[in-house]
Amino acid sequence: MTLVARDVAVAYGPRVALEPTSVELLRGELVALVGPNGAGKTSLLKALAGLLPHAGTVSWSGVDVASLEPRARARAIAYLPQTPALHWPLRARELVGLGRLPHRGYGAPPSDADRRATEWALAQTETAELAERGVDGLSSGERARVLLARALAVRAPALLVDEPIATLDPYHQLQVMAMLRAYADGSGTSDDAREPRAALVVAVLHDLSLAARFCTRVLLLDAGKVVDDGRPEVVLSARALERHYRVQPVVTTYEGEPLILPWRRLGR
Amino acid sequence: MTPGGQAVAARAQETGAPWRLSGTLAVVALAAAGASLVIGRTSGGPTFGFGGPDLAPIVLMEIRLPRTLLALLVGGTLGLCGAALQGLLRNPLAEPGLLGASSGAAFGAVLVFYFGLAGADSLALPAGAVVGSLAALAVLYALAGNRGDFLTIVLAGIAINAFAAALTSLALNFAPSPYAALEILFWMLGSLADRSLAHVALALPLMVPGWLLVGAAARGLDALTLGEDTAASLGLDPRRTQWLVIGGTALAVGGAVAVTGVVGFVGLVVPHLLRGRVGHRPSRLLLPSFFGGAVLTSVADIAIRLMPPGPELKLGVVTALLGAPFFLHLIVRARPAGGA
Amino acid sequence: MSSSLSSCANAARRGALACVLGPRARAGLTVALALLVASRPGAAPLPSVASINLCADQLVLTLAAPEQILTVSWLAADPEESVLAAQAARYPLNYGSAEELLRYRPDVVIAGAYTNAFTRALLTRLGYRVVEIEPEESIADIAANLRRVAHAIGRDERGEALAAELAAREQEIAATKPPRAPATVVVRPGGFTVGEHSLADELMKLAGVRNVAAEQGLDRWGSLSMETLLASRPELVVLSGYRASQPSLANAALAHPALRLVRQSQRTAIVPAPYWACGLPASLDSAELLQRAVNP
Repeated sequence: MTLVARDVAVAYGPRVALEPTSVELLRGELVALVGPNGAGKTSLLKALAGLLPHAGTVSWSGVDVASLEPRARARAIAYLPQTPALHWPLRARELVGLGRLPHRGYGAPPSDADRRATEWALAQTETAELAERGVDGLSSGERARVLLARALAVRAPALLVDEPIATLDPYHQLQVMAMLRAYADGSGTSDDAREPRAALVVAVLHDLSLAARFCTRVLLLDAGKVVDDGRPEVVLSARALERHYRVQPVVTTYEGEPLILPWRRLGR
Repeated sequence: MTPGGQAVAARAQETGAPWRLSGTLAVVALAAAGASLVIGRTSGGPTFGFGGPDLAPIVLMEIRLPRTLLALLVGGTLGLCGAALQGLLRNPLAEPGLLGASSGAAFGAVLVFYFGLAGADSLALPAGAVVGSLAALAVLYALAGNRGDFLTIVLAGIAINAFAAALTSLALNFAPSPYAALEILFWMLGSLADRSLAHVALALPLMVPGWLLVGAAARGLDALTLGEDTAASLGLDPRRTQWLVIGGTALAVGGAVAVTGVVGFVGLVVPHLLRGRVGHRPSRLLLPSFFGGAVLTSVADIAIRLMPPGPELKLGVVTALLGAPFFLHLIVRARPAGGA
Repeated sequence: MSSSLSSCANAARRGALACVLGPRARAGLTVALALLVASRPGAAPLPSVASINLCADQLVLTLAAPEQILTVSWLAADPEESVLAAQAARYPLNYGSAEELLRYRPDVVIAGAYTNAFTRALLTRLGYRVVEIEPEESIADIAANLRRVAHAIGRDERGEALAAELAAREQEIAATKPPRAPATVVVRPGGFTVGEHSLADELMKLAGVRNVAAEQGLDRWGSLSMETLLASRPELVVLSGYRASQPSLANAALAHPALRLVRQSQRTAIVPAPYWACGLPASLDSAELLQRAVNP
């Protein structure tokens, strides 16, 4: 099962956000979308999720996403926006439960599968102890994890998240990255532990160390184009970072894992 | 409590609370309806009973029953549509009058008065109001379009309200006599007095489809809690939700205003009072708001009949007297509702 | 007594029976019929009347036999609204709702054309006879409404009599017009005045005064700016106030300093609102009042 983009381009009026881009993303991959601000990462992510008008086609398992019935698409592809809106102070558990809407028939009460998925999502993001609290009483980091749990609760085979760890403390940043890796490996899309089903996870990230440590593949974007696509250690080279991020990084390893630190800004 | 135990408790709460609330309010609404059937008003003030065996069937069936039914139906409509609009616009200060359905209906009725059609058949008046509210919806659609975002819709509603108010004032200015102008003004204040079963029959075919459209938007309203992008990602098209709520509200509120004039604040106050009891979840607020609106309107209408002898107060005046201070209280106490 | 020949000539009008029977037989038959009619219980009594509109109230009070009147509206008993307030106060007062009127069980309900449309429709739906009168905009309208209401309540002869009285009085007043029609302005609360095609304007014409506002093209009713008023150099100022004892912004127009200045040098007439609010025989009093103001 693959998510395939063919010649996908996004423009906001006259401004081109994403040049025609083709990419094939496979289940089991944890893909990092990296690049400087304004590179087109969010536009690509949203186009893949079927949420933006775009040129070209996006297909999931060979079927054009645009032709899918909205609920079928919602069950296949889960999406978490960069700054999720939250308009009513629901209890955290209820909020996470909203992730089950694509699975619930109209007017039907939540099924056991829905309840299990909600509890599982709360456990995965370590927010079970917050479940009974109203989300307006949570800190922004706690709220961010609850919102992520909502996206997990969909248990979709494709999970697209936009900067999921930006507001989290270091402990939870590591925890979430590990959790996303496990999700890609197959921890979550099925209740049945005997048949783990791998998932595709695509995450827009700014933390290059975490991207390098946890992700299996990196897409580097700059100025609306995918300039590199491959394994983290190859794509996130010092030269690439200097060229596209305009920073001089420290690229090294620690305990055998990559460690990338932006060190100094470079001139134009 | 263990996570499993928590889940069980949550399940009970999730399915139980809104049904209990709706059930309680429905019972209260029935009680209010019962009182409304029994309480009347004559020259000497409030009366209890039906005024003698020969008059009783007429008084009960032709005077009390339509009034009672309309209080429930119109109040329910206003409560339901208020809750839906607040869910749609993600703002607890939204109200059915916002879209221009009420003022469009009022203007349609004014036109009927102006051309002197109202005297011929009092059903001409509601017919004009219905045409007015649907025209307002058509203008809204033309302004906002199929892909209109919420801000455009709200601004379009404000523009329609302003325009309808201006046209109504113009018609009043050119009214054939001061009596005609007064008749219009009194109608616009909102009242349930002396409505007949014919008016119930006129309003129901508009209200019921309106309710169904609004009800169909329930899940979409829940999804919109998380914003338009997330809602779309959950398979619930925000545009479809939007037009279900707007179309349903225009129909149902148009039908209501057509028969009763402009009754305000019920759609604002009722969802507000009940929101905390349903955990702020938009879909769970709809049915309780329907019954809550029915209760509030019935009680207000009964209160009117219990006043000391004199000309009857207008229902719209009473709801405004209750609602406007409540509205001010909301504004003073306003705090942002949990933005991310 | 007419001869049998002329009775037969009239047969087409009164029916063939009048021709066949001789005069004595006819007289006997008439007496027998009268006895028969009078002996039936409730034989053709006057219909009971409820009135729910101020103008209708006053017409009913003028035309109906007292035992006919079940109720009139509460406005009719208010001297600020009604010319016949004292008379109206003798009857039960209603507030115009259908439920109230049901309890009176009227045979006929008299309403105005602009009385609450819902109440009128509900009463009609419940099978009551509802007779509506249009607001009176001329003296001819007064006569028409007199006849209409009289017919509705079974008092046709009284209606005709009052209409005849009205016409006669109209003639009398017309005969005593002043030699030269003085320019006249009418000032009502809120700066409103009366224009062409209104009852007040026709009464002014009858009195023999010139309505400046009507000459300037105002139709029926509208407002009059103080400047226009002054520029017209009125010789007679007519104040038609309403509830003068209650403070209101509208009444401030009647106390405008410019108006007071004019009144210092010109004549003033005060016509209480009830005389012009509804068209009644008593409305002609206002024409006489204007004539007396011009020619004291």
